[in-house]
Amino acid sequence: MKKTLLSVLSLLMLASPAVAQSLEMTDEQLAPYKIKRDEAGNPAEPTAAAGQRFMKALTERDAEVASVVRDAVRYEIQDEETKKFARQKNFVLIAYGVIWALLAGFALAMWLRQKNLIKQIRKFETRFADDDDDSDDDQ
Amino acid sequence: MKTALLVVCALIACVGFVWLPHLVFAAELQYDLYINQKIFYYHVPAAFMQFVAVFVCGITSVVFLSTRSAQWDDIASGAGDLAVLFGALLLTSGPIWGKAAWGHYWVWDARLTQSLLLWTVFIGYALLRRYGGLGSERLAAGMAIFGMAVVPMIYFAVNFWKTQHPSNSVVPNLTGSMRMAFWISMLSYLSLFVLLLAAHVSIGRWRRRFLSVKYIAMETE
Repeated sequence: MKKTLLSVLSLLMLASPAVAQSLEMTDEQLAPYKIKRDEAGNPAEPTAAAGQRFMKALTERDAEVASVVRDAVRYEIQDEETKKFARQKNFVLIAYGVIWALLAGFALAMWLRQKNLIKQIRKFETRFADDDDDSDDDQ
Repeated sequence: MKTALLVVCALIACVGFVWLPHLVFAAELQYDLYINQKIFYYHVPAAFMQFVAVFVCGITSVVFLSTRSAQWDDIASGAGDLAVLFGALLLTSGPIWGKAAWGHYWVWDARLTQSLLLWTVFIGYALLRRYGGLGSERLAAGMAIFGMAVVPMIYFAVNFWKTQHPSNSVVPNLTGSMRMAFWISMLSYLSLFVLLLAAHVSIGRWRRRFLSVKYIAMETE
């Protein structure tokens, strides 16, 4: 979410020449809202800090415009999250379905094996009972 | 005592598996992996149960080889089949998760390859038990001991080699709702394992007794 917020705000700032032209802001005026960097060029603050400064300044300058920007960013984030969820939930459902299908298949195989075993035992018992009858007849 | 234990396991398994989906989806969302991380709560317990099944099979095989007592062989046979079952759960849920997280169903890294190897060893064990005939129990016991030796290599594979698979530090570092969902899943899987093992051992025992009587009857004729 923070990355999306940052990317949207960065796009606004990267298009600064066009933005500056339309918003009548110079590069010097936009400079405070860029990420602070150390001598090596690495970020010296959290990535969202610059965007938060921008939003704070925008809110102080014009609350209505700030509100509109926040809504646009919120919509972007929600749209991205919804698409990500829709794309990924199918994997979860398929994985769970396969697991339960395998467990059910194993239980069924065990049940069939037991049923077959009982059938063989009964067949054997019948055969023994017939043999006993035959031996009784012989006597 | 045995019946009471099985009843308790049945209750735990039923309650656990009914409650689990709610716990899983109520658990915190992992930031990087997002929703597909939820497969974790079924995939990892399946892996642990496979390891448990392999260890039970291996240890009871060792006892069978030293005592030649058939009851240990019955337990080994049941545990071997369960190693195949839980291995199948692991090797199907894993690639589905892999596709979601990595974009590939399968990568030939150390842990995945050795897991597949272990599964094929126990498929061989199950086939040997089914079709090996009289005397195959001892050969199967040897296979089970070999399989048991592979498990530590699978577990520590992520430490020894550079793998794509997540490390072993994930489970100890779980917090809050994720930890609860995971351990309820483990408990449910363990109860299911005990139930399936008891059922399988019972069937195996009856089959062995029936075959013994059948062979005696055939010899008498």
